Amino acid sequence: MTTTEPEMPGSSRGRGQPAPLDDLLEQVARGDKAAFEAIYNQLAPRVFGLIRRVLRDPAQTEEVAQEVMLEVWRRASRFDSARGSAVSWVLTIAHGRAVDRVRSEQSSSRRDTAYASSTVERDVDLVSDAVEASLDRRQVRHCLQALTPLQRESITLAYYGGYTQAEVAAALKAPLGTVKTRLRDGMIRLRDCLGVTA
Amino acid sequence: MTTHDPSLLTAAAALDALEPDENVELDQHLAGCEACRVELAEFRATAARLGSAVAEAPPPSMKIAVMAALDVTRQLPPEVPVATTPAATVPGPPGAAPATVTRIDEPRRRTGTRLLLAAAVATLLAAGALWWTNRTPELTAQEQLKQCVSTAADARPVAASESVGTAIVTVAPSCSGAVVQLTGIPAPPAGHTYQMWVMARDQARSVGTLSLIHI
Repeated sequence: MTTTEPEMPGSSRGRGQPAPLDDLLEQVARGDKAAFEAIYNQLAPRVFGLIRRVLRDPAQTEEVAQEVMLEVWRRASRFDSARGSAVSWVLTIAHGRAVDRVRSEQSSSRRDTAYASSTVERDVDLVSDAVEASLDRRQVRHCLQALTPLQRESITLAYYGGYTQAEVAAALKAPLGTVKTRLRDGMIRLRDCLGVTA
Repeated sequence: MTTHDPSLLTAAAALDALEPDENVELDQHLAGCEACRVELAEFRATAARLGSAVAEAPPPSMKIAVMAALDVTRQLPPEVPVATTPAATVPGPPGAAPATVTRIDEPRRRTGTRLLLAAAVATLLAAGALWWTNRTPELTAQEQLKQCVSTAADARPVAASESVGTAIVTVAPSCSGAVVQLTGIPAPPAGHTYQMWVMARDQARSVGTLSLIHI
């Protein structure tokens, strides 16, 4: 079961009009627990879902997701809405923590390319066949499909798989330089397709 | 040696796909590349959309644990640019004679850095002077600079020895500014206000007057 939050894509936000989540996070910075609970209700599913995708292990997922939400509480005063949205700030922390956990647990020798290759299709399918029909998922699915296969696979392995560029190159048996270019080109196209602005 | 452009690392950085040495290289580059910082923020926001697309309801046990932990989890306080002894706002009439000047003695540095320090402090105070002299409640520019410096990777504190109170100037090139923390500064006499000067080479430049507020 997945939750649907009233979605407010960042791109549709008017200039000079702070999103409610940004306001809530600023209130959290002042110790407002009710504001934190509202943030939790809206963002914990995204934090949990993303960490689950990267870590795979359900037990570790809850532990790391908890750490991330507490980090949001701890560091809320350092959030600056002028430099990015609350969602971006929180998910940046979440993804960073997930990747740290993966890399500290797995030595590079265990990242065998056979496993990696077999998961590429599955990773892409899991995103493409999302049951939930929220606007955000539809937009992401549409924009991912608009990428070339190599761009999509590179970004999927890097983001959802927690792979470094070198590991992506090894998994896809492609030159490192090619992977770097595909990652960048793919992110540019995703950004523009999704209508993301800083 | 092949030349490569660190500004091309922003997309991979937003995906947390860089090697540690590439992260360091990008951090150093970001200090001097506003366009790169903007691009990184855009790619981070793009990645966040990817993250949002796989949202999944967490177990109820997680919320219980998190909410219970709030009481025993300390929050980081915001960075404060000015800390003073208790004092009400001390307005100075226009043209008031400057009271004791807090001179910031710069440590021995290369000329370039010294000028950067002077320019950075001037930028901070130029941005804030409008607020101080007009005493409007608008704090956005100052608050933004405060936040930027408090989290900037290239923030460097510069210690200052004073005859009155203590000062720490934290310069952050990536924020094009600095935060000045003054402590132990007594309220100026009635009808007077503090005026801040920046010493650059052999010139002293006034960068505005200060309203002291209790925080």
